[in-house]
Amino acid sequence: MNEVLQVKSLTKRVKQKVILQDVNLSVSEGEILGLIGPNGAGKTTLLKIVSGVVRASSGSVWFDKSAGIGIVPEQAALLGDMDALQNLRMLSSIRGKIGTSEIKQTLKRVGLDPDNKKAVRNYSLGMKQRLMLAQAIMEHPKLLLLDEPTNALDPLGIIDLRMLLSELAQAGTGIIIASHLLNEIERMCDRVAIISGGKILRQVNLRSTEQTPIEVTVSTAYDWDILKRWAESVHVELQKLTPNKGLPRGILKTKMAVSQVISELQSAGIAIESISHVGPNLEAVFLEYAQLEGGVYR
Amino acid sequence: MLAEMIKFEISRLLKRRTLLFWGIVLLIALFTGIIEYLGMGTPKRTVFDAFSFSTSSIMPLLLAPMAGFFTGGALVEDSRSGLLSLIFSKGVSAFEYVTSKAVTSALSQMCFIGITLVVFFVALLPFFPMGSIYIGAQHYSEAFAYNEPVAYCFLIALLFITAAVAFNGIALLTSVWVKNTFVVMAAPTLLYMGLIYVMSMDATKVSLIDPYANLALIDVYIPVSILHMVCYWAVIALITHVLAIAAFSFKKDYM
Repeated sequence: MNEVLQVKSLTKRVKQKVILQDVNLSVSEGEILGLIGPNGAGKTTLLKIVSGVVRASSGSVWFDKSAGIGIVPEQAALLGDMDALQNLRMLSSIRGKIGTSEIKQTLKRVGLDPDNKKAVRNYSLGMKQRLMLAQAIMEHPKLLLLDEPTNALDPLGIIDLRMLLSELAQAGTGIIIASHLLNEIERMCDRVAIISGGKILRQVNLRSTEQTPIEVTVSTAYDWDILKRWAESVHVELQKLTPNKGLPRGILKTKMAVSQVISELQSAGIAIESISHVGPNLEAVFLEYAQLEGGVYR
Repeated sequence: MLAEMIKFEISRLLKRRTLLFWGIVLLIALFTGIIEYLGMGTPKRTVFDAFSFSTSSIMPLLLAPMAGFFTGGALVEDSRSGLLSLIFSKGVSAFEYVTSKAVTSALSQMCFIGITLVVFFVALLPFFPMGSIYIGAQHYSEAFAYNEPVAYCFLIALLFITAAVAFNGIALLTSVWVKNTFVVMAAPTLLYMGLIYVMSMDATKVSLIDPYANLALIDVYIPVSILHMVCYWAVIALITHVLAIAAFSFKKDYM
């Protein structure tokens, strides 16, 4: 598949501080790439360099400039005195690629009324975010950059966003999403880059077809202790996850079938709440790197 | 894409309601100058006399702050609000963006001051007769004002317009580096006052920094005509705008 973005050996220094260090990244047509990392990891700076508002100290960024890029910045950037349609008309006048009818269609697509004459400054945060999405996609860019796109969106808005991004990806748009919300990233993205301290620590393919690990939730801390001992005894790696509704939870990295694991755990007297194959677990991967990087989770 | 950006900026400018507000403020200020004029004993009051007196009293005080208000926040606000990243995402370069800002803000200053002065002049017509400007008429600039009042008033209007554009350039140049909106807004005024103060230390150079017609009219030792002053401010305007464009174009970061 053709790449719509190539980032090579990108480094950004501000005075002596290294913000990004030797970042290499690419996004293909129709691919959704998630950028996750702690605050100050360099996610937003990376998006700003790609969008051109921050210059890299070294390295290169390539994308098809004629196709343009769509951006949803972390903060809604709008002309507050104007209504939604006027805002988009103004912005679209720069490239002159689309007309009013296409703008109205885009507004409808993101769930906004094109005939609403209310000034944008009176919009709710969620409506502003939808409008930002509309301005980003209205000219059908090949590359879309979204910085915390679920900010201020209500649950319905998040579902709409997920569906919209999926449609755009199917139409060939390459998308980068920077977010703190692991669940959302996991649901929306095909691939995830974990970024910390300005470095890409690891890229995880969330749509991998390889055999997947097993997530198991047990009833009590006592069951968890037995599970740990069992895992050690059969030389299976067990990675602890954050508890689910207070129930201990973890990932077993094994090629055993789920039925076999259930049978063995039951034999060991462990009370299982739930067990299933999972894809590459983003939380597990993230926590693994968070620990390596001195994160708060221990 | 520069032409499209200039159109974009002009559209934004026309949507600004503050233009009308500041126009009214300026007109009110000019009419306070007329009240002061009426309190003075003049041989014969004429529309040109009233216009030149009032504008020369009021405009030097307001040109710099007005430029600060209009242009000071232009770059800073776009950068802070994130609008700049949207504009850049449309394929607009930093040079195109800042050039469109420079062109439109300079044009807006010219139009704003020019239109306000014309409105002010027209508003004076029903109240004062046409006629010469009554100064001593002994020296060149005074004689010029006496004999050619229309040309004289046109020149001082041109002087104010040029000075306004120069202050606009100073505000734009400051906003390339300074991110505090209030500091940027105050910069032209502070710089102007500072320069006036510095130049006032040397009596022979005071006239060179003060562009205003009133000084030229009363100080026979000033070695420059009003047209010289117009050119002088035009050069400042050109330099500050070019510097602002160059500085912004070569900036590393815009956020």
